[in-house]
Amino acid sequence: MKSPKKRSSAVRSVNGWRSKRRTFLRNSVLASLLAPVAKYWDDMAEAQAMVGRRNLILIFLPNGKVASNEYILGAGDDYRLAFGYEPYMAFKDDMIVFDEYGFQGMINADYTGDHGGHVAPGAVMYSGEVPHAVDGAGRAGMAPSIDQIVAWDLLEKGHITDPLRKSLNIKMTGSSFRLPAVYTGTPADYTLGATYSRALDPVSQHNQPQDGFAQMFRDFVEMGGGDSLEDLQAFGRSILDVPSAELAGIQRTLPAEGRRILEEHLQSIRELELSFMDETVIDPAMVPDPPGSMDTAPTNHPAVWDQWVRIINASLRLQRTHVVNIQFGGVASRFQIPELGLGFVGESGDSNSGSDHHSYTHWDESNVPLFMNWYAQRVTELLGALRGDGSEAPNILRDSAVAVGMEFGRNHNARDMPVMLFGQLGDYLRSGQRLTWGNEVDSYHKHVGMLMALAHGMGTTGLTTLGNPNPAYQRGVAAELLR
Amino acid sequence: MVDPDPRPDPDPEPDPEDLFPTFLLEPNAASTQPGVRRLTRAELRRTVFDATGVDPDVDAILDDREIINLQNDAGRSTVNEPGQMLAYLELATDVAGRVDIDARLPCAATCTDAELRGYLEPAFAQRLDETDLARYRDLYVRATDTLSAEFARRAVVQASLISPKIIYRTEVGDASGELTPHELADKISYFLIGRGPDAELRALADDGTLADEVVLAGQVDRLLADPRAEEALVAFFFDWLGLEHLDLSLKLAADELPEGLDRSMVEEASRMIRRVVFQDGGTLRELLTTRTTEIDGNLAAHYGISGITGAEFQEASLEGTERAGLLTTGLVLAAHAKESGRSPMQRGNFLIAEVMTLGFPAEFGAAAMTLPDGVEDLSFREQFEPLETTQPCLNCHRMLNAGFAFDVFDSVGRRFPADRVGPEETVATFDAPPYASVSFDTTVEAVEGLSRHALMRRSFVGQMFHSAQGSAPSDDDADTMSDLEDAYEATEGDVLALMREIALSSRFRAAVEVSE
Repeated sequence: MKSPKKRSSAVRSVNGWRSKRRTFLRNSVLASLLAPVAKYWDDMAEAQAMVGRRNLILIFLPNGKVASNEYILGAGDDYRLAFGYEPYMAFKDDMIVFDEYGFQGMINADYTGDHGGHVAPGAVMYSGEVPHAVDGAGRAGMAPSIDQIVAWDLLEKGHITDPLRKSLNIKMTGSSFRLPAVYTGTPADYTLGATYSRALDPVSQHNQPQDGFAQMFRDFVEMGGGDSLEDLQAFGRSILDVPSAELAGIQRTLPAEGRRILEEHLQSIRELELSFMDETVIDPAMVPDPPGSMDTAPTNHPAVWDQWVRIINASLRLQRTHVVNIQFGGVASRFQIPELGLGFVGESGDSNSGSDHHSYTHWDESNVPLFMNWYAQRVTELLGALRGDGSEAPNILRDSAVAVGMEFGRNHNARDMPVMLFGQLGDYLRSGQRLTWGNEVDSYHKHVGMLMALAHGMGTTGLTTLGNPNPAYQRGVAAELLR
Repeated sequence: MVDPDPRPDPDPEPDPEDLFPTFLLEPNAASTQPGVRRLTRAELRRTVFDATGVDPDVDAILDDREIINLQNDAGRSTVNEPGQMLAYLELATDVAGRVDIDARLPCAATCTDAELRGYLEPAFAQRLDETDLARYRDLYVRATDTLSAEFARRAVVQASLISPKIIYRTEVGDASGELTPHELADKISYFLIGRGPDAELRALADDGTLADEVVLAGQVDRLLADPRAEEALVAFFFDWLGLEHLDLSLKLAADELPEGLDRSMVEEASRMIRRVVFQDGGTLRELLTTRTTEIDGNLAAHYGISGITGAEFQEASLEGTERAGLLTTGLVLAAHAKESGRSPMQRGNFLIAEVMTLGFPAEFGAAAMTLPDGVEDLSFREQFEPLETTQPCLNCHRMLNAGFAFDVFDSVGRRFPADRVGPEETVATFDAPPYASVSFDTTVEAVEGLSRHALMRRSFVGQMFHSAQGSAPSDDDADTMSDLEDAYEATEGDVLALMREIALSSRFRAAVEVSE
């Protein structure tokens, strides 16, 4: 027997198991199991023709608190960006920048837990809703984030046929304060526009590029001679009818809550079966080399990010997914960037001291732009990959929206929060403009409007309200973003 | 020292029914008994090992859902994403690829039904009816079409490990309203030894004699004497006290710490629990106040205790130090501290939310998170004093400031230099009306007083019951809880006696109600 390995170390173009699987499927009870989700394919051709190539990428950067908040310099369209943001200037024509982008009023009005400056902006950033508070502390997202709503909708409509690839969720290693992830999944009972008043589960995120690669390209595994772990893996794709039948037997004896739990399990099996049936045809030569296991420690962040850029770029170009979310660390993260060579700052024993981004925002704001510039380099590395070289790698930034949101604004609250949009999302977003959205209460609905615009641009046009149900925030898509 | 209650009224030992369970953390959390319980990651790991002899990697399995600290919330533990299902399948495939198949599923030629039963029934801890067996027989036959003979057997193991018969256990009972013998075998086994039932228990379930109270009591005693019960009880304490995810590398002092200190910390706490509870027959109070520990050279240096070097763990006296019991081990202190600096509020919150399982009602208001201005001349401890007497701050801080009891220790559990944090900084009170308040001047006094506190008893009994039931106690459990607290008091807090009492209670054996 070959030594077992958890992940395939080689990607092969021959999918011998596919024909065996088809044979099996014809002869199994799977068809009946799949009946509840067959609607996924009903309008697939039409849907693909509409927006099937558009991509949404959300990025969350922690701890951008700088009192001066030096960001956009100069008046009008002849602006430039301050040092911390300067790398983005190479994408000025692809970019929408905002002056005074704030939503602190939403937090003040609708959040009663502690750390309204740390936890709440992170939650609101991509969900339009304040976090669920437990014992007076914000601990979990209370609304699905926009990426997950779009991913859910793409799956429903059949733009994505493999539930495992509905989104790629990435976290660069770093600590989190209270909220482990700013991206929150759609609950099992989700319907478009549904709102909740309870804690929802955060998305599962990959720290390891290897894991993200496996999620996007795991079906490129061939079957050998019937006596290897790969063969067992391939056979495993055909055995889910056994637990399905057993679950159905147990389910009948349970109270309603137990039946619901097993129904969710059954649905997970059905979606996994759908994933295994996905027959997307791509040129194997285009599949990138799989990354090995990497050290994800801060000292290796640039190399880890390089791998992520490669995987994201390939996944979008090969249409393995259309939704990616990324966060560097987490809420109030002490994100470490050793290559900046900045040492300890602060006072020994003080909890806001250290060598990380968070500590510098407290003790030495003059060096914060170094961190911001490092983030900007990473983001523009991705933007450059998406923009391509104009020949072999066409520009897919045109088909994409990349939102970059940062945790803090001018202080520990969501005033003057730097938010930037890149890409045109087809011909939908009017990039190359500068907008002033203001920090006044009357402007807070625009944040929800921006998120709504991203959803609509991705084809989730059935979304008419998002996040916090307070009518003051629900004024539809922010029209000034659109072409 | 334990102060007499300064308030003439209310009763310092309130009627449990007056307070229970609204005083518990997360009063709004759903706490249901759905009749089906997904195995926790730890339970799954042990169960798969028992079934196959392979120690599986369970890291990819979904985090267990916490409710009031414990990670076995039956109502919220689901498999609700295809990615989670894939994680189970990958675990099953990995184990099936590594299992000693000739030992676990030996087949002379083509596997017979008897040979399949020989593996499946112990793995599932239950007899299989013909329908269930037929599924695996069919799968085996199907596997032989594409896999070698050996790997067709491995495919049977693979399928068994994603079976709901492995991933879940039920508590729906029969017409009597009690758990079936097999469900009861499952429940006492997972509660007492953290894994599925062994052959003796299965046999008693098979012939139905486990329902006999004398037989059941004998099995409970047998399992409590089993070394595997020690592993399960350590896991319970780690779960209750939130000790499972300490990562010293996140501390700012990480570079100063010796290699393997985190493992040493885990080992010290585990040894303390095993020694006090199992070897010395001790009580929770003794566990929280013991002045004896076992440490290696790493921890001896960390604690400033001389005479112990090397990797071997040796008994050490804590007399003369500011440590006493489990709450002052490096593991607990580091697990509930910030990345650097002082952490009195974090430790106070740990004491309230995790140790005492209390919550702050919403009406207490939001925390300001800032200290008053103009206090530069005051010590750190003194800056917090006004919060104990000023509304609305006092609602929380009259309990929260008890975290100062542990504030002589830094974020990795070392004693702060005396010139940085003096003994006067640990003076505090734990005041949770209507219970008697506890005041203390030192860490040792604090753990002594807290270990005797009525809330400690209530929390511990409640959490042990919660562990057994997979859901927090509800209003319907008030009588059971009251009885259990009385029994616990009668044994002066004997931990194993409490577990026995719970396992033999009628509530434990009752099936969930199934309504249409």
